Amino acid sequence: MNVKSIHAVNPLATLALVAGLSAWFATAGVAQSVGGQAYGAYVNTPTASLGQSPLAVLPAISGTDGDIAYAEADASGVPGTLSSEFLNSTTSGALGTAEAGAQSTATAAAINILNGLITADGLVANAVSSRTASGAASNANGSTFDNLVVAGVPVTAGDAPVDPNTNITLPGVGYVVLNEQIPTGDGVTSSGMTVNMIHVFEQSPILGLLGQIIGYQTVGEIIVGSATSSVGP
Amino acid sequence: MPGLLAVALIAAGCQDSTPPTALKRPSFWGGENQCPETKFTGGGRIDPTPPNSMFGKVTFGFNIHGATNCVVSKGEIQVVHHPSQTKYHVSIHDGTDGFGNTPTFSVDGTCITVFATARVKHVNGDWHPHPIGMRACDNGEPGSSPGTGPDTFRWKVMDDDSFGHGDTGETPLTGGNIQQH
Repeated sequence: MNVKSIHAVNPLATLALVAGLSAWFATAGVAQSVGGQAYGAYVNTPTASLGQSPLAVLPAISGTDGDIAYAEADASGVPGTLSSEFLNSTTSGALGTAEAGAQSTATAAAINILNGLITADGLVANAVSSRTASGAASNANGSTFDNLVVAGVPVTAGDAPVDPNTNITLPGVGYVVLNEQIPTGDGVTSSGMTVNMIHVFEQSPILGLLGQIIGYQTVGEIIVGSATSSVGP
Repeated sequence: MPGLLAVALIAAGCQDSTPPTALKRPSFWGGENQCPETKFTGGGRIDPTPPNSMFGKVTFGFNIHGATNCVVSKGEIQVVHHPSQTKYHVSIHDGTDGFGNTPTFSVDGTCITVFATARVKHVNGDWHPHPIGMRACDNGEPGSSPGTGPDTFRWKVMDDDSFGHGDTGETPLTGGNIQQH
């Protein structure tokens, strides 16, 4: 009976049905990939270097098992450039039938950048991405600084957030971006977020033929508290 | 060690032929006592406040697989209490945690409750064990709104209420997400 029923179906109609269902699943389905990483500190300047540490990277995920990675360090830094303590990095993610998601968290305490130019008692970087049938989204909720001071000026009192992508000039050094948020994806089938809580750009002047300053170029970077999450098709 | 006793009782109850609804659970967890095969993953931050005995900034991440016999077959849990600089870590493989105990779980609705033994480190001290309870609820998407919630997380050290230990209470997420999958 079943065989007869199949042969009775118009092949063109079958193709149209398959194509339609494929398009519906592509729109309504959840993500097929998730990604995440978190690290406490990173330095790359002309005088100092420190790889991303402690670094946690979410392993590749298939099926619906989910996974987690974490890394920790009692201290991390480069003398004269960065010191920090109690660093913890965690990232987790899963592919579900109704939802796919990844979330990453990086924390650090007792932060001192460039001999006191920037200090903080602590910080949390949080990045979250998820995709359901209604779309994909990311956020950096819960990302805060604890008693942040930049160039002698208090920025937060106690534990508090700072507006995303807050830019402060550091005379003689360059500038710092606080709560730097870098979104990715189309918001429908993919979404991602990188949040760098402290991102220092060391700059040097570009001189013209007459020795005048015609611009600036970035020659070094310092990042403290970085969390990334993503979901994709 | 009431926490270890609770873990032992739950493990014993889950592995016999007693229907899941008859399992004994500590009263503070509440909810139905069920243990269908399940997987929960999550991470983020909560900020519990007094009178919860563990309060202040807490970050966490976890991935839990529960089997039909109420035993956590594999999983990892990482919790950090920042005011006391205390780290908790639970690592479960083949139904056994790092201390030879059997971690157990129950599911009620969109929440999972896990009992296990964590290794714990305060500041730069030595690692040592504590029995713990974890409860995570997937209450909607996204798990954390610009305010807090709707997802919730709870962490309780079963045998110690001193600074860096204690109970966060069931607290809405300040950031992050919890996923039942």
